[in-house]
Amino acid sequence: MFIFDLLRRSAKAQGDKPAAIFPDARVSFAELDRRSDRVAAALAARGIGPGDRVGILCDNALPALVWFWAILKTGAQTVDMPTLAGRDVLQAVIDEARPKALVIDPKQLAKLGGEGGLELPGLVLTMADGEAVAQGKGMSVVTLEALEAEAETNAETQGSRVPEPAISPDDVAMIVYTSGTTGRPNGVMLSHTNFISNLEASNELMGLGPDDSILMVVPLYYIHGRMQLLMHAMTGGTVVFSAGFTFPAKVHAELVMTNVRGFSGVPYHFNQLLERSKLAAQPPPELRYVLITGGALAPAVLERLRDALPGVGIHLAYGQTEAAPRITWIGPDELFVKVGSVGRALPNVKVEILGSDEQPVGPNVVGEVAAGGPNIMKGYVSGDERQLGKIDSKGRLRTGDLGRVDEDGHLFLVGRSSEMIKSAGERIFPQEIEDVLHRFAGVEEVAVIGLPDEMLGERVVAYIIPKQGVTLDRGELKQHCLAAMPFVRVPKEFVQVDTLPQTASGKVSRSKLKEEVLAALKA
Amino acid sequence: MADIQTKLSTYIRKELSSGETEIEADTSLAGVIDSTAIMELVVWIEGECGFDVEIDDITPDNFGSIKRIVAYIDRNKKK
Repeated sequence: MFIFDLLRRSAKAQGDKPAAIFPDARVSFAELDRRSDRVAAALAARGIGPGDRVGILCDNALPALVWFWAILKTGAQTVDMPTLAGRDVLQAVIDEARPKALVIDPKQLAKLGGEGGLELPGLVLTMADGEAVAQGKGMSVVTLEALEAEAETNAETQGSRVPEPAISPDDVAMIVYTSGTTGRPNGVMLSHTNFISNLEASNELMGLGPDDSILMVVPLYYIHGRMQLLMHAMTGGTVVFSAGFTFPAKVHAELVMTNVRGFSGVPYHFNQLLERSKLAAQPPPELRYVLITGGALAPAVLERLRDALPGVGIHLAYGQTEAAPRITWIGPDELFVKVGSVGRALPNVKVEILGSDEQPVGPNVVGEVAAGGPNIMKGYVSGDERQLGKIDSKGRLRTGDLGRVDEDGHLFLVGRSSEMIKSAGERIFPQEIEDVLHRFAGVEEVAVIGLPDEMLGERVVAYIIPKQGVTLDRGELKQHCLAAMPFVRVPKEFVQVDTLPQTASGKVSRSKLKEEVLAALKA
Repeated sequence: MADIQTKLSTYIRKELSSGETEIEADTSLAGVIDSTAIMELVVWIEGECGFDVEIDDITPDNFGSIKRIVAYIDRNKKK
């Protein structure tokens, strides 16, 4: 089974049902299937097919969905690119993944097209206003509308459906770029089988069916965004796209007004909805379940959520992009019994806790969480997943998370072996921010760590040794960071210090620094 | 009123967004600043203007652009 079969089946079984609802548009399964068939045929006619990659650099919108399904139907691989990333990160993704074509929405085209922008592949695809933007920059682009019209004309003689691509379910279908646990953007290659196996297991555990619907607040380039989309394509349920999470009170209003039955978010989203919206005073009337991903919610917050949403089932899933993405799951029956658990392994996933000798340890012994199963990625685009130790000699995914499994098979996470910071649901690697700060004139040495923060989970703090005789200006440092990265990654504090703790080999030790700072905070 | 608009523009330009991003008084802030930045903005307004921002008030209608925030501040300061 291929990922695009999910759409085809739902189009056949319940063609008239809405597949997606946006603030300004909606589309049924049948129409989405038909439109993406046409675009796939037109893309195939332009030489896009198995083995090719097509980048997608778009905010959530209906045309982005048509492109996504069309690319998959040609047998090519999608490359999801983060719209919030800066030019340098995006260029690195293009240079590494070498997409044959790139879908770029008008907003991104205005920002990154033309002189001084991204070096784009030969075929640049866009939609609607994108053509005018491109003309202004002297670029040549092909619009979605033009491809659809082209396929329509050809359909009369040749049929509008692209032939079944010559691929196998084990071939790469989607590449999702993630910060990963290695501190640089990693292109995670996931096959049709990776996703289908994970979707089947997830949907069964959660009991999702065609009557379910969900409010999507995350971008589609996040694996959790793609997962929500595919879960509902599989069941024939509807995805309602939020206008975004900038205003939690608005998201609450959307939950109430759209009558969705489901909502999925990271802990930050739930914190915000509880703190900054009237979720408890006015629970969304049709909400049947919520799903927490991307980390555990603090027990006190979990209780508040339960009290705010009586009768709503709370589910939690733990995973990584490299696991397409879910590894464990826990449902409402056990969440408050096994407090702190992130659940049991999905039925087709094997979780092992490995000790320092790389051997599995017994119940309740802490070690590194490793996972194996049909959902584990094909590899990184860079091809060095084994050298990096993400995939071990037994083919298991090494999560970099520390945890223990109890007698009943419940996984409890106790920490991370990496120095990743989780702030507002974003995975942030100190190295990325340190690299940016090192480019600021006057910075001698820098260490970035995450400190506990009630609302954000962790907040990013930078400790900087200035060059001799230099006094660093906080405002300039902040602007330097804001120009290079999204707000959520920008350090909340810049602390100027004379020294930083070092490791035995003379490198700056973030872990020692964090220990020192936390000890000082407690004192 | 012009005074608070200038202060607010400066604050958003210096603290919440890259100076390279052009933000006019009626530029939509959705997509320019995220929800964590809105939180900081709310704290700034409370400190600067001396009133509490109600949860229900943090909406695109009140916070969607600099112009709207200024109008919102103006309405609440008079209370």
